[in-house]
Amino acid sequence: MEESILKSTKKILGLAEDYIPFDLDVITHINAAFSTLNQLGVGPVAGFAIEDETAVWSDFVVPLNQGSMIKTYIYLKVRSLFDPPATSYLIEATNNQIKEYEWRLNSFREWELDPVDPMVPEEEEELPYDYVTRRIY
Amino acid sequence: MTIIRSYSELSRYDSFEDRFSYLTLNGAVGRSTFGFDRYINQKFYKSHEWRQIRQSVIIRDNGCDLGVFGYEIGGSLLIHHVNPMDYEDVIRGEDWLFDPEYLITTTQNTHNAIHYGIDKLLPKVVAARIRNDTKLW
Repeated sequence: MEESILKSTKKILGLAEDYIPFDLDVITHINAAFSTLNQLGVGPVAGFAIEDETAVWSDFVVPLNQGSMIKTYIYLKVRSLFDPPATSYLIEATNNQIKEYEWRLNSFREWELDPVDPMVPEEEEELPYDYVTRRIY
Repeated sequence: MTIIRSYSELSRYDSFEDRFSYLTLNGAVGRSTFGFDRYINQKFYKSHEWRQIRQSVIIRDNGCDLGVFGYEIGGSLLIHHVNPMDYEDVIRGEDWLFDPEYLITTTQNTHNAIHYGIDKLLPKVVAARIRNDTKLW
């Protein structure tokens, strides 16, 4: 099922699908979050933005393992801009979660650019070493 | 340890009182839980894994006491295991200790009320004001 980005974000924010007075605000915040993702190297190189409810999540092409994280990230970012948490605990938890997702998504991106299997030890290059003088020559 | 309570079941109750009744443990004041092994408990609560899951539970419950809207927590907040854990559970590293399905956001007072069944520790309900009601207390 194709899921509208705007509708699903509104649903999580507690706004009814047919209640449109805040659509412009929500769309603006969603696009700001996509812009941050673009700077992190996630999603289409040219960037991504929505204009109305017709844009669906599958339009934002990303690897399968990042999909859910991106949806939650967008929600947290929009929530923190549109309806900021009232208590310090929630503000701190939300900000930390946003930072963690940004780090993880960036980490995915770095892996794509330079895949290194952490389970395979890197081959150590043996430097020419003089055991008498204890120097590398 | 038998799992008897869960967040899925808890979320079926809307009111704070119903959720409290569902979670009540009716323990006894002075009954030993961790006893001299409390350092294990403290190590657990300072672990990175716990801090991460704590954060996501606060976000899920919107920083509200027992996750009930209108009971935002401004004072001391803690995350409660809906099924009591003991020394053996921590040593074995049971998965459910880190599972949001068995965790709920609460306050220190509500937490104590859950454990010891002391209703007077629960947050007071503010009476709705009515027309011509000029008596403040």
